[in-house]
Amino acid sequence: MTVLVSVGRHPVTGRSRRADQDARGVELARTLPGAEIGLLHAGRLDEGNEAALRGYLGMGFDALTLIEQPESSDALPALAEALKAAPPQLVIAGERAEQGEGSGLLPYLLAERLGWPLVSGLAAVEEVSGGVATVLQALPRGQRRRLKVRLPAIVTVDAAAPAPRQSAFGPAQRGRLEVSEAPVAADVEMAEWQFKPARKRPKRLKIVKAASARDRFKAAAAKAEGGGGQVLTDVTAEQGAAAVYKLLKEEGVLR
Amino acid sequence: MSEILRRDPRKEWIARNRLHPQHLEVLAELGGGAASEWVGPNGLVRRNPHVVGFMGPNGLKRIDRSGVQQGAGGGGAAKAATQSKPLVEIESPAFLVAVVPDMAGGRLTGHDRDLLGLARQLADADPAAPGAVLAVIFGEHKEDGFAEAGIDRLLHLDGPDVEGFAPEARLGALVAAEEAWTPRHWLIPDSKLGGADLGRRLAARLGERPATGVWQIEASAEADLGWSCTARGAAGTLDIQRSLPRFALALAECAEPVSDTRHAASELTLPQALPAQLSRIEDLGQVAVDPAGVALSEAEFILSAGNGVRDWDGFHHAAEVLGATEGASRVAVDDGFMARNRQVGATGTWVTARVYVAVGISGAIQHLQGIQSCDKVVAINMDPGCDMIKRADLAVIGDSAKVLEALVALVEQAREEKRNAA
Amino acid sequence: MAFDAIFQPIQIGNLTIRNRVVSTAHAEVHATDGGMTTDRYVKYYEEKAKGGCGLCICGGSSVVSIDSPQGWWSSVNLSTDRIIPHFQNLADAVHKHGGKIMIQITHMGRRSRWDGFDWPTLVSPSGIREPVHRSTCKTIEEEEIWRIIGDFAQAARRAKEGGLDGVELSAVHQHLVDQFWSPRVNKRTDQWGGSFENRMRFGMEVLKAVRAEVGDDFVVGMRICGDEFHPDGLSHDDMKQIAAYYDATGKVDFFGVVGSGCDTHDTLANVIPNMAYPPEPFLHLAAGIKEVVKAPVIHAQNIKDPNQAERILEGGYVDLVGMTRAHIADPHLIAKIKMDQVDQIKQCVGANYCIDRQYQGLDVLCIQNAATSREYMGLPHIIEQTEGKKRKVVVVGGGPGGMEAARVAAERGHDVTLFEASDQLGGQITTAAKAPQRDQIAGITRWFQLELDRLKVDQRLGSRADEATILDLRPDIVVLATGGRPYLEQHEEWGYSDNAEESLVVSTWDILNGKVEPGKNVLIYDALCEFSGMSAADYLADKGAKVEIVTDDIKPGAAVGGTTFPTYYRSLYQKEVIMTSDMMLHKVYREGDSLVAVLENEYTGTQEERVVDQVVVENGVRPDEALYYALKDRSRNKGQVDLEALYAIKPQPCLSEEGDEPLLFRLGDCTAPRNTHAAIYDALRLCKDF
Repeated sequence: MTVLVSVGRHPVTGRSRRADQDARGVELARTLPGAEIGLLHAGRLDEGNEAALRGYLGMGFDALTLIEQPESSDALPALAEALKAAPPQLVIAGERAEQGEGSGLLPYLLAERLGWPLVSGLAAVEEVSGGVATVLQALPRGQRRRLKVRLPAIVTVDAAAPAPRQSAFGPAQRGRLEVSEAPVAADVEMAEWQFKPARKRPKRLKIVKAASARDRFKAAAAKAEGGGGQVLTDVTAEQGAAAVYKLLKEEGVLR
Repeated sequence: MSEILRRDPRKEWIARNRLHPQHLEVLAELGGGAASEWVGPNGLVRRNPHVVGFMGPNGLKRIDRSGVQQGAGGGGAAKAATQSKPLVEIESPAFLVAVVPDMAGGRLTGHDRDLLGLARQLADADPAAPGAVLAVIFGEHKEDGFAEAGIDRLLHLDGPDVEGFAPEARLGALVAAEEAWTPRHWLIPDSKLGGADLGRRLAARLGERPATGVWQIEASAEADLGWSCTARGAAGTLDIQRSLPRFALALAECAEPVSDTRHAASELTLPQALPAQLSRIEDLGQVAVDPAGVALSEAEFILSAGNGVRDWDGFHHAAEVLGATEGASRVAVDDGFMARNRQVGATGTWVTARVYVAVGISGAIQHLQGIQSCDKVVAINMDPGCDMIKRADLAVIGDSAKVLEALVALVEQAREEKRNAA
Repeated sequence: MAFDAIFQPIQIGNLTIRNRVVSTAHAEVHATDGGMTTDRYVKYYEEKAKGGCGLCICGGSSVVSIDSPQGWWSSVNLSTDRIIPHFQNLADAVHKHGGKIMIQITHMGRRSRWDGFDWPTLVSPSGIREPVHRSTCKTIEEEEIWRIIGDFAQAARRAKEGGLDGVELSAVHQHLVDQFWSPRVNKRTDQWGGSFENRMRFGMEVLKAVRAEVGDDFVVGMRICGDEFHPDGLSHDDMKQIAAYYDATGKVDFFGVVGSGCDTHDTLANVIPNMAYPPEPFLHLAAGIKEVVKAPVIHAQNIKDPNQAERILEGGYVDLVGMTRAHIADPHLIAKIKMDQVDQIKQCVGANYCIDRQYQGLDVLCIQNAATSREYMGLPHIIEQTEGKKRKVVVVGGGPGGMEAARVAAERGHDVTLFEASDQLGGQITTAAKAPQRDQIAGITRWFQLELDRLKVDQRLGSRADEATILDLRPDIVVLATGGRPYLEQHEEWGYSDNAEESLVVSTWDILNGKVEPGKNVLIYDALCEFSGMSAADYLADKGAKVEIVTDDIKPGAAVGGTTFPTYYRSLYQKEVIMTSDMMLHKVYREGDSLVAVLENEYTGTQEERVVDQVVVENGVRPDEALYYALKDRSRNKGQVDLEALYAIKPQPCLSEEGDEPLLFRLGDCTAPRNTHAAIYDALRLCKDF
């Protein structure tokens, strides 16, 4: 299998690093018994990037394949060609890059181009056998869904996947970056965009649309009340429980 | 309705008899304007200040001390303030704005509503050539507020193929919708509930580059579609300003939800039946997770204990059987029955559960504040007058220990039946 | 640590604040002697700085001009250079502990009183009367406008020369700056009124003059309102426009945002939300201002809990949180968060005793913390262990006075037993907490309960102590805080009887405690006009009863403070409770199944009747003195308190005298009915030297 890795960016210091989801992807691959794992990266090779990429080697790899591409180019054709040339059973990628557009589209475009199925947001790969992978997909609120996907396939990794192991300094320095070349496709559209650091967006508190001053005030000072709920008095415990059970069933929270 | 006057001579007698214990009650019931003042048996004036005045012609309470005007004759009861929102119908739209809501739990999510608000901005920008908002939804649902959420047209695709995690079948349907109507815009929530995945699949399939992480749009004369957008990039650390493409995956709170109008929400059907697809992904269903491992702030289903809980073993057992994450009121924590990190409320953790079951919690104001974004609140309490009951969608008045015990029995019985059936 | 956002330092102008928690400006009502800050004032702020508060903004409504009188609220007077050395003391005291201190400066315009001190003519943009203070004013003239602008600049200079870290210009609470802003009050047609720019002009000239005087190296902030909530006032959108306008000058280092205007009784209650309000009710308004300004935003109003503060800061709604009443209740709040003692924080319950005193021109005190603002007298926030002998202390009664006595004695290291006849602590607080919107007052008991558990006080609940049980414990000191009971037997004609079957009247306690079923048609006679009568009315109406509350005083709730009666009124009027004043309850008699209450007009003597099914009487408390008189002669000091020592915060002389018999003290309502603060204050000042 192949893990696609990218150069990440520390959210506070802004320094290059292993991308968190990609590193989790590498970790996920490492948990599969008997898997033959290749690391693949398309991008520019410079000092900062090299240190970050060597971080993946420090997770216990001898080599990483690097398809050299200039900055702000579209990595899709290069990666697709590389995967087509030597198709693995399973391609693992992070959900989105920590730098640049970070749209999270790349795995989808690869899957489309290769004609492979894609499953997003994995927490774990439980089993790979008989050309089928059984995986656990992370859902919001800590929930999980079990899926089977036919191989070859592309999967992306959620932040709920196991945390990556520390990168060991020695292996990271000893590992090889096997540089290859591929045709370059410039990202023309992106050149027209404007980038600026994001400002925090606080979550909406309450929407007070009322036009009159009295209503605005009431909306601000009002207690959180629902109103109009069903109240069951003088019922037996069993009848009460049945009503609660019905609601829990309807809402689908009982598994 | 019959116009024949009905009379109750006994009540009329009571109404005349000021000494009758039911006198006031009957006066009020007969609606003839209960007396506010009369002379009592000891010669002192008796007043009933609760019935002073009557409903005036403008629907406001009126007091006329001259005595000329009286409330008798029923007065003009306050007009029922059924202010329904105006219905906006767009018969022949100039274009369509397609939205694919997540419909988590079978209802429009807050995120979905924000997107529909955004869709309305796009659709309503030019009053001379209004667009219509088309929502595409999959599977069974419990939503009855599509019209109020700003949806003009609704495409509801049902059936076993699109239930659960079925990205390939859903993608096929969206491609069919694109071919049938070619909406000017596609808006999809950039959310983990499914939109982020489905939206990227659709764009990749149709070969169009979407904008992702969109949180703001502005009219822009230079852009092809007349709009520019601001989108989060680089894992949330950058804002990207670009023109709005046809496909946009938008974040929560990208716009204010629709609140002032109603829309037709008329059903559409695809011109052709969807071809059967061979799926390469099989959904084996959701897996039971350890609810204790789910952060309280994120938990979907919370069983929360308060002052009224006496049987703590029973409570913990119920949480385990129901698969609910445990929460607590401040009092339950103060009293040492639950850990501080289980405390729900403005002074503890704000929760966002879809179902919040409050057991023996009266509902202090800071607690109610902390559960305000829960979808369904169930209260089990002895005191029918407590604030939690007022907040609850369903309240059971009674001994919480017994109700929980019965609930556990029901759940276990249902599981047993399912096992036997399997 | 779990409170990272709170402890993240922040830069305001060139000043670094060590954390995100502010004690925002409030009138302390302790600057005396012509508005010079006193030792009491300095110690009050020093305690907050010692306790870790990041920034104190002192001196709510401190005046810049002599025609804005400071005497009514003993606020700080910045209209003279005499203030400068006083500020130096204040600044040193706070800086010593790593805190920062600024002062709010203002001209109050019409929002004051003219009938005292220099008998000033108050000024306002258009001479419109102010209803809350019932004050009239003149229409301000151009010359006066420029004089006051100059006064602002001079006041800021004095703050700077006094070593304070900044000034906050008050443009909130309908002071002169926002009187110019608000079209509700500003009807001028010259360059100071009318258009947006014209209405902004006065504030802008003040800002420019202040900045020119103090330079860039001194913090100048502005406190503004988030929405006046008046139909003819400034809306939230207006306030966003105003904030952005001033922010664009780059001359404002921070904005403080207060939700709600306050020139009516009803809106005034919003400004310091009491326990009836949800937590942080106006945060959305502050967050709305933050969206449009670059300067950091401070917001207070019902932020009392560390988790709540952390959540607000973490969410990025505002940059600093004001926890002002939280600091009045516990000036060591921040230190306790830091030391992982969150459960030991004495949390503000929103009783608003502090602010309701302030609005009566009385010094700000805390209902539950008697040491606050009495630091200068030597009243401690942290009780030291005694170095003297360990004593056996028996406290009888688990109300506020008894709980405080037990706590203080236990902190001193004594062996304390606390008796309480009912099965829970709290006394009358427990009853008070039963009313709608009043449940938060139980927070007072909550803190005592947690502390008494932590201090391992022997709590004998459900246990009525008598003479023998007490003496069996061989106490060195007995403190009686047995409270009292409702005084319904005062007038025989009310028909009260100890036999519940026969009694024609019931007490508010019986109603609130659920001892008596609520009636359907109820008359409440309230001779006190304090909380209990209003609470009983709200409780009964909430249960669906028709309620009329009658008093012989000037209006029901007349003795409830200015930030609390509005929340009662909102609730009572909404539930169609009838409020009747000037009528005394003359007599109650039975007529068939009904009760008839005979009321007598205070001013005419005319009588009239009400036919109801329940009569509730609130006539105050009669002390429970039985146990005291049983023990009095068995005690060494005959139950007497040395008043000179008590008032001087000195040890009771009898404590150092030898003898076999126990010392006996009584406090709280079992002496004479006063209030929660009185009971707690007596307990603290008496027991701190045990």
